[in-house]
Amino acid sequence: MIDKKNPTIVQMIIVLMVIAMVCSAGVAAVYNATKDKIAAQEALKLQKSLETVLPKSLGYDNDITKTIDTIKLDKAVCICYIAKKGNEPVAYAIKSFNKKGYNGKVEVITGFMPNGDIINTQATVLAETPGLGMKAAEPKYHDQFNGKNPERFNLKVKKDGGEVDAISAATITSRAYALCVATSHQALMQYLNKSVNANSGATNSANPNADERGLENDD
Amino acid sequence: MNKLSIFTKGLLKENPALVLILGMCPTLGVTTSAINGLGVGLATTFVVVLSNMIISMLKKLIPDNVHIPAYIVVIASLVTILQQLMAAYLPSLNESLGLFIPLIVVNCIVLGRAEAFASKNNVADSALDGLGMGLGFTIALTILGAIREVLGAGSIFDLKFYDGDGIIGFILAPGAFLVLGYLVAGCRRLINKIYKKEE
Repeated sequence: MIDKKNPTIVQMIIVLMVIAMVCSAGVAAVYNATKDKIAAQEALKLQKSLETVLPKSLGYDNDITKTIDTIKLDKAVCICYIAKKGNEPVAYAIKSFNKKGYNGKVEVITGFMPNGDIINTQATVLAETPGLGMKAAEPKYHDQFNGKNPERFNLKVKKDGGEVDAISAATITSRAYALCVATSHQALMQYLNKSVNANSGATNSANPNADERGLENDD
Repeated sequence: MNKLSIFTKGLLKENPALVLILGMCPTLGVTTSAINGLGVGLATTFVVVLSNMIISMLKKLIPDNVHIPAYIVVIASLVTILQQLMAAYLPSLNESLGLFIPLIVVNCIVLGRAEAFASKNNVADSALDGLGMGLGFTIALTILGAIREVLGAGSIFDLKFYDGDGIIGFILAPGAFLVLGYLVAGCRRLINKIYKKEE
């Protein structure tokens, strides 16, 4: 058996190796058992966010989580979810992020009408200071974007000369959130121009296989 | 030492957060609300109970020279399993606790109990010790989180009872130190009262 006080090197190696192997097997087993459930939870979360920014009352009949496209901007890659009624797009939801939050990454999904009016916004990644920056997730802050068209509504906080009411003591978060909305709007404009071109005969740049990884690579 | 005192010592007399002052990273960092304190406390309890039991079972097999890497492998695996389970079944809690779940690996309470108790005692006693320590930690974090939430956000367990902003300082780091200080003092006083009588 194993000598606890004066083990040989072989004994130590064997004990550590066996423990590591058993533990890895346990982790792998739980990973396999939970990975479908975790993927389902993430899909559910996305579905909920999308339904917040693109309410069912718009009358679309497709699965928005699957009708996706990526939009490449100069400095960002956004994911666009398209709500369609029949074959006609009725609204767009665009997800964009930046790392200018007080605690890093802020990611927001913004729903747009085809004319660029904002329907609603929803933060999907927000890890700001509780009680301060986290208020960006409350309607009191983000409802101010609803119904606005960024062409006529300057998406900068008032301190920077724009029209967005910043959360008191959380200007940085407010800025990052508004920037997400502005980036999404920019992406939408670019996308709509492109689709118009596509319809008039040019090749469509749609890439149905694009997923979130494309976005992460931009880090 | 009888079974009952193995369990109860972690609750008050040797409370890991308020008397031993261990595991200060989650204690100060995560307790911005009562529910977060409760969540991290219970997650730590899960890990400390299971790691105590496994290490107690393996105590005769692990040579002294490599006991720390062996314990850490066991603890890290348990934490990874816990995180996967939470992501699958409690996604919203998992998100609000964020990095603090993986950080349980380096929580001194877990390794401390493995080292100080589980490596010298049988499986049942080790499980009791882990349960007592884990619950003591949970109680401390929940009280700390509740006080900070009441003062800082005007709510308790996410139920708003005061409309408007609270004292934001209590949500931020200074409030954590302040409340923890008073809790440590209060806990000392309580211990003195209870255990002086026994003597």
